Amino acid sequence: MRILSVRHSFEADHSSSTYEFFALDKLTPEQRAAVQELTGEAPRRHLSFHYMGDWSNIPSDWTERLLTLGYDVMVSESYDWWAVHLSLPHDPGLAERLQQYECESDGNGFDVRVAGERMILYFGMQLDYSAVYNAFGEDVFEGLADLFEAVRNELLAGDLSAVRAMYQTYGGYGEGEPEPVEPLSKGARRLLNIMENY
Amino acid sequence: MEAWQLAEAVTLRPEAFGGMAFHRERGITLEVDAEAYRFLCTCREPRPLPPPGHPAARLVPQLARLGFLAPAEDGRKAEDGRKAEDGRKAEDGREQVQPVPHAPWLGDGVTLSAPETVHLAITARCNLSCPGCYVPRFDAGPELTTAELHGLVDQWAQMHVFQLAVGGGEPLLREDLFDVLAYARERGIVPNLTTNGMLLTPDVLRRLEWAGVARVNLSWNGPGGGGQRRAVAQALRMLLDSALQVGVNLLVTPALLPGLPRLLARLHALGVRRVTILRPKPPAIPSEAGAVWYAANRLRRADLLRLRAIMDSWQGVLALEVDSALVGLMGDADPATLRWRGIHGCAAGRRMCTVWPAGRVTPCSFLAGPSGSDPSGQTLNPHSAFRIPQSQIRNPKSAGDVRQVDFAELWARGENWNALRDPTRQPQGGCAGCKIASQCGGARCVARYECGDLFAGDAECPHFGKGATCAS
Repeated sequence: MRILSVRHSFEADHSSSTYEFFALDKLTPEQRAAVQELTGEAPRRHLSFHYMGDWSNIPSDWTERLLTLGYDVMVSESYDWWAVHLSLPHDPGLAERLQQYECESDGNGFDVRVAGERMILYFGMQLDYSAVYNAFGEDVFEGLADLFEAVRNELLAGDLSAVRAMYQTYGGYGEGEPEPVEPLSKGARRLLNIMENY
Repeated sequence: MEAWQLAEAVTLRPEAFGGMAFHRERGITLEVDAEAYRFLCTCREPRPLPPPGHPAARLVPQLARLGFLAPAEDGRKAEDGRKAEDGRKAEDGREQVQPVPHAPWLGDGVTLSAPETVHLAITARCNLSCPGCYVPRFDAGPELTTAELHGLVDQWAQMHVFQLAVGGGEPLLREDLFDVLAYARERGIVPNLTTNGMLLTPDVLRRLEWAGVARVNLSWNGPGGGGQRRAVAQALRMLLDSALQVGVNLLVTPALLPGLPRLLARLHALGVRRVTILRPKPPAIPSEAGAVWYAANRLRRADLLRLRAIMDSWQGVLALEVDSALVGLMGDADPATLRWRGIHGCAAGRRMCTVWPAGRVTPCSFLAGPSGSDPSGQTLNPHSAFRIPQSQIRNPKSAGDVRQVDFAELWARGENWNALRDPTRQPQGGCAGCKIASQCGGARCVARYECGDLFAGDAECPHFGKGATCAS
């Protein structure tokens, strides 16, 4: 039971697309130079791009490039379509465990891809703005980034609760079930709560 | 808030994939799956908030935020008002939203059961002679009468058409324009108007407001001349002072591109917040004058890239929309996101159509072949490298005439539009490998003009490689 699309016509559409990148550590001089060259922006640890109008979006290769240039978390929102990307050092063993939980449902879901020495984890969620606002207050992007920083730490420590929560919400159509995770971590429970509240 | 109800201003319509909902005050169109559509239908009566865990519990906050559901107390008031209105019009069942299925033809998922928007060229008469105008002078015959237009509006209301885009010619030359617009609004169809602005006066604006027009689009491009420019600017100021939603239609040509930043700045300074960028389209019928105009004004790949850069620089200042022939500018976007935003690219004959002044129905204003038999041995584009006999050109023609056949039947039958509606047909050429092909598909009228094939690639798209051709 869901909405497939939302289109605004004669009344002004105030929707927009926002992409925020967070670096947990300082960028190196090389990374700073590369970020500036790519985006033309001053290479701060928190980079934000905002696009108005439904024709415009972040260039398609920026997400992956910035996530391999020192940024660890990217939170984006476009017309209530939320996505979080995490960048982790590539660990083949962890990648294999994570791939069990890959799932897709109309663009929502979770997947893992390898980009050089990094693994890029995608969490796509169709969330209601009020649900995330209730969860995080005024700065939803910072709130989600904090939550996913915690999730990132859990994943690096081997706790796959958060991706299990994604599978529980958007998966379940493939053959076989991935390994259960009990009990779910605090971060995963919070994520699950937001997704269930849409 | 314990109970919810469908907002009064919502029109529902079943479709093969589930259904659609249109908010007549907010101008928002939703597509929903079958379960969600059934849920929306049940919301015509007040119903309690679904319990946590119920699938609809996720849906209600979203629908409420978009204005499709209202707290039941308000809903009841609205319902009371609606019942009073229905008391006067109960016989025709206008406001009665029927459960699935209600229509003889429910669409097939590719083509809708009814157009979302009907483009009504209400007159071919015009007080200007803009070069490149698409209104076919060949469309001879007497214009549809007021009574015939009322009859059409009745049919569209029964089909739950959401919006009417009235243009011309210059629509303000039709004496009965306000009557037709008001009748559409009365029948639950949202009227919008496109005008060159020359005939706008305070009294005309009052009458447009009275008729319930949602948005007036002012065509900025005209034959030019200082007097005309001043008149358009004056019309724009009047519109911006009115209660109407205002948009500016800007046909962007290579000649306009260098001055586009200055023009956008001027529009912004005037108070415009919404500009629709239109792409020059090829002439619908073969003509030397049309071919010459298009050759001089088409946007090539480099122009489109430049346009995109200019639009980028106006991010956050002006809301810039693009017409469906410019969806290729969104080529960086994720296709799922475009789907979510309801962007379908060229929707000719599948989601919209054009009704011409004398009643002819075509898939859109630019895929409008001649009404008579096609002259053989010509190409649409006499300058094209692709010399294809006219007889081989896939040319969607008129579906028929609303004076002869009911509109619903013409729409359902879609005679001569089969190629446009064939779900197995995918754009070829450079469009074939494009990741947003399903949401864009290029401009079909350009493909037909350049290559003689509706499903050739849109060779001017900026996402094609340089030197791309129809088939490569």
